[in-house]
Amino acid sequence: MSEKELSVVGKPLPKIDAYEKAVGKARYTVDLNLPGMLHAKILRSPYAHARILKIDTSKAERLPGVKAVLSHKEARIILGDEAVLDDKVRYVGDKVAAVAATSEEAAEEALELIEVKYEVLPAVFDPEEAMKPEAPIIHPDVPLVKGKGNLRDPVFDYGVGDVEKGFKEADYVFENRYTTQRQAHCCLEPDVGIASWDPSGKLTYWTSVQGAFIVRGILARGLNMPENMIRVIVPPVGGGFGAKYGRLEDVLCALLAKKTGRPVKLECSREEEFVTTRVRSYSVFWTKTGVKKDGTFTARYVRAIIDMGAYAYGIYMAQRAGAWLITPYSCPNCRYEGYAVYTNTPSSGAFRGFSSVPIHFALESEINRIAEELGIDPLEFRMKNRRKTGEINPYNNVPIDAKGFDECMVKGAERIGWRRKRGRREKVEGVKRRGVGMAISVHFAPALHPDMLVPGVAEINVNADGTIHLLIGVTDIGQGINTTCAQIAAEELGVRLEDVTVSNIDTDVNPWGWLVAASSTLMQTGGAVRAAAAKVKKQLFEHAAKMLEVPPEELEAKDRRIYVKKESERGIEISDVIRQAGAPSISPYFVDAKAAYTFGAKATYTVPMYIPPWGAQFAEIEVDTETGQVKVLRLVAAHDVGKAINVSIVEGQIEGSLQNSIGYALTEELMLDKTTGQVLNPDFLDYKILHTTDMPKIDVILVETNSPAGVFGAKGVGEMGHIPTAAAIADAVYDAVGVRIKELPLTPEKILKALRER
Amino acid sequence: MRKFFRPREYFKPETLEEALNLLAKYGESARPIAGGTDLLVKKPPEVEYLIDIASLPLDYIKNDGEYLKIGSLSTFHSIETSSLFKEGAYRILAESAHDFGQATVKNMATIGGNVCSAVPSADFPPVLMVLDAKAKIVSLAGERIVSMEEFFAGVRKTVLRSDELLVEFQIPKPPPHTGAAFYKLGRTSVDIALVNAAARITLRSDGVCEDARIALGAVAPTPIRAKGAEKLLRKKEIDEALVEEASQTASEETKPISDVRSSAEYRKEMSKVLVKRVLQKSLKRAKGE
Repeated sequence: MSEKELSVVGKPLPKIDAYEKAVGKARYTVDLNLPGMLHAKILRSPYAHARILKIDTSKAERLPGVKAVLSHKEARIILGDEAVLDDKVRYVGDKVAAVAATSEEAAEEALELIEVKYEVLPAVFDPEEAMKPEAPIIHPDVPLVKGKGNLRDPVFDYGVGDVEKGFKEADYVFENRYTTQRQAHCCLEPDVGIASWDPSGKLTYWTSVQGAFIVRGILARGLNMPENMIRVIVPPVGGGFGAKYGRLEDVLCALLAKKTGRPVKLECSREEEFVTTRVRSYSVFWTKTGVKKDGTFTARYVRAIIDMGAYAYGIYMAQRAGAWLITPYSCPNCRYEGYAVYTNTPSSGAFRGFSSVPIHFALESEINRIAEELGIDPLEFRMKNRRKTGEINPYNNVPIDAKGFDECMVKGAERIGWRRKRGRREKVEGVKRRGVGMAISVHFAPALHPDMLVPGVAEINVNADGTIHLLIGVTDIGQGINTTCAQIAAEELGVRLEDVTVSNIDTDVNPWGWLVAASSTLMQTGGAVRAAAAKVKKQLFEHAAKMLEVPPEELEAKDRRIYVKKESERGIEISDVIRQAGAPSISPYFVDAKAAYTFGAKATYTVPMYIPPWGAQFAEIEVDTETGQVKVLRLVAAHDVGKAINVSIVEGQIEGSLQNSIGYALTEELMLDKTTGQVLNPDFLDYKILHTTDMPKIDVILVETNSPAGVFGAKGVGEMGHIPTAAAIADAVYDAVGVRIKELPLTPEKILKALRER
Repeated sequence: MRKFFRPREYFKPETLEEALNLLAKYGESARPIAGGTDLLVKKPPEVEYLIDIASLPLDYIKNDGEYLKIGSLSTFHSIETSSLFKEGAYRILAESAHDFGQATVKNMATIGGNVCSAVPSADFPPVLMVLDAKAKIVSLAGERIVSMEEFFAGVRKTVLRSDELLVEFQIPKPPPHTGAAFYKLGRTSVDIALVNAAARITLRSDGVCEDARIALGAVAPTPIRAKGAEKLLRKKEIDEALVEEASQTASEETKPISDVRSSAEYRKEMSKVLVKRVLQKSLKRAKGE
């Protein structure tokens, strides 16, 4: 890194697409319509578990406007444990058949004309029930643990030391059970795709997704096609949060388009969005903790039961959640057991804070409880047990870098007034009580797992006038990665932000990119952007050096100009460097042509090491002891972000996470009918997200520790704000009224019940 | 749920007479539509014709000294912001409109729609009931006045005939030393009520309760008056113990159900809490505190 002062990076610049989005002019996939386009609808199962004995689509096919109907007879294409359309359904809402018609109305009407004869099978909706040997088996063909019902093989079992020995050494052993609920992503733009085949047999697919190349892979496997015959285009995306990483509905849409020879749009209704887009799992955590009187851990054990629902997209959660048991605190004996279980419920999958959010609620709540019972302040307890820099993290056997962890806790505590407010049971307005609570967070940075160590790729092309085209392989889903990457390119090249154009993804054009996931996007792709920009800068400096008659290493670039470091008045405009590199010609066209292919580069970047993002959050809340309602008054979120490339974007990511996670703590829950498995609240009337008027005062504290693993010192921050919130709020409820709620969400009824039982 | 609601025909009458003619002609298969925030979300199966009454001159709020008159097309927004509801018992109209929800819906939804939809959790009905409001209902056959208490017949059912239109709410001037309050319990600040409650208390000059009215929503198939509780309060000097007793009685008068929003037990318990709160506040306001 050059020692020059940063002029674009680190600034709170507006997002480059802010205007079009703010005025409602951005065109999302859902806004696109192609000439001759058909509309598709999916017939979904009314039963939680059933075999399709007979399906007759003839009446539907005869309805005017209907151009194609598909059932499992034509589309039983299996990827993993799910088929595009199957002869068996595994949850209420599972795909049964699909229709493409000239209008959405006709497609909807056609669904009602499809005649299906089901053999209804016994179903199971609770993962602990589903692990019993007598439970109905949902996937007989996948590896299951013998005698354990629907428990998917393998059970994830790992750790360090010997927990049994650790429990023997303990002065106290604490046990508990926590549960967390299903949470829906609630993307404003529902899942949507438009498939169109051209006469050469090539498929173009427009979609709202977090990983264009992942979707291309799904389409290639599902359609049995080479990847070069599939082009995925991603217009602006109306929210992802983990919901949009490719689905078999994509294959279904392409099949309908192929069968009809016309473009087909398949768009989720809001109800389908709630039920079918792979929610955050219902999870159960059994915890057992051994501690010495002074609060030193001797052993920590967790058994996590992850409800995968009907299909195994949530299996990684069971695999990885143990990282958050082992990574943040020192303890010689840790053991994690992760159980991934099928049930006849909507599938679970990725969601902001994947694997981290539910287990943090359990573990951080338990730490608050243990600290309280030992008579130690929860903040002190954490300071005592938290990992120190240089300790080996037994999870991945790599030395830990805990810089920033203390600072998050100390600064956050100070801001909320921890020492002044904790333990006061402050009374207000007669029946209301106030309290403060805390929790910490740690999450992925891509290098934690070898399979997440995928390179970021970026390509920079330089125009003759000195403006830049930046191509990256990851999607801007609203998190602002295009802006952040443009800032990085502009900084490194010495141009202005408005000189850089970042195109949305077209897999025929953009370099490869992984999912927008695991808080990895900036660290991977941002690193590649800087590397590509550095290569281009080198090319420019070589030409400029000749023109300025100095060695290239004496040059610097800033604000569209290359100049001699020690004599800043001696310089040249970047556009002049480019133009003069072109072959002299009487025609400007030829000059530009030469210039345009002289400068440009592609680069990759792989995050070299796991340096965790750390965070601590503090909540101040008020409980109405008569209604049980919790009002969050203030949230302090202190996060080690390494370096904020764009302060506004980083703060926005944390604030958005808080909105999402206060809802998780208090009101959001996808509810199922316990006898039918049907989702009871697939709409915003009864799935309660927080509105602006529900938001508390928020203090975001950015701790900048300059990570050696991330571009310009940055760490991934997209998910961190979601992780500690629920535990901090639950702890604040305890501080206010003396009850600990162990089942999310913290509904008024649960709080009143606990108050009565106290 | 089907996404599309295409009526067989859609009318937009310019005059009341035209609207009443259409209602008379199409009967049960027609429905007047104003803001559309209820009707377009959940179409009653029998509805084939929509009669858009938005052009009728029914968007007004006026006070003729004896009665406050609210045209049925008045929106939540105009009620929330009207200068006529800044003080006195009438203010609970503005307060309940304020608590109703998002600005976008407040701009569209009307008081007439809120009442005529007859959803048990609606916010205006308990308010109108404690204010002793009457509905002016017209049809080609003439005009009738129905008190709010007699207006509701069940979940999404009212005494309105299919050829009738509710055009105005008439609210008598509250006596002096009257205070009123409204309280809505929702899961977030933008929600339909789990329970809502309104009260109005009128005191004599010696402080004794002359009249008390209590109404609750979302705790029975229709909004209800808690008449037993009211009776306890009338002609008595209201103290804390009496408020407690009346709240308990009101809660016992409810018949709530359990659903995805709340359990029946919680609704019953909250009925007591809410009635207590609206009584306390009404009393304070009646005393001019």
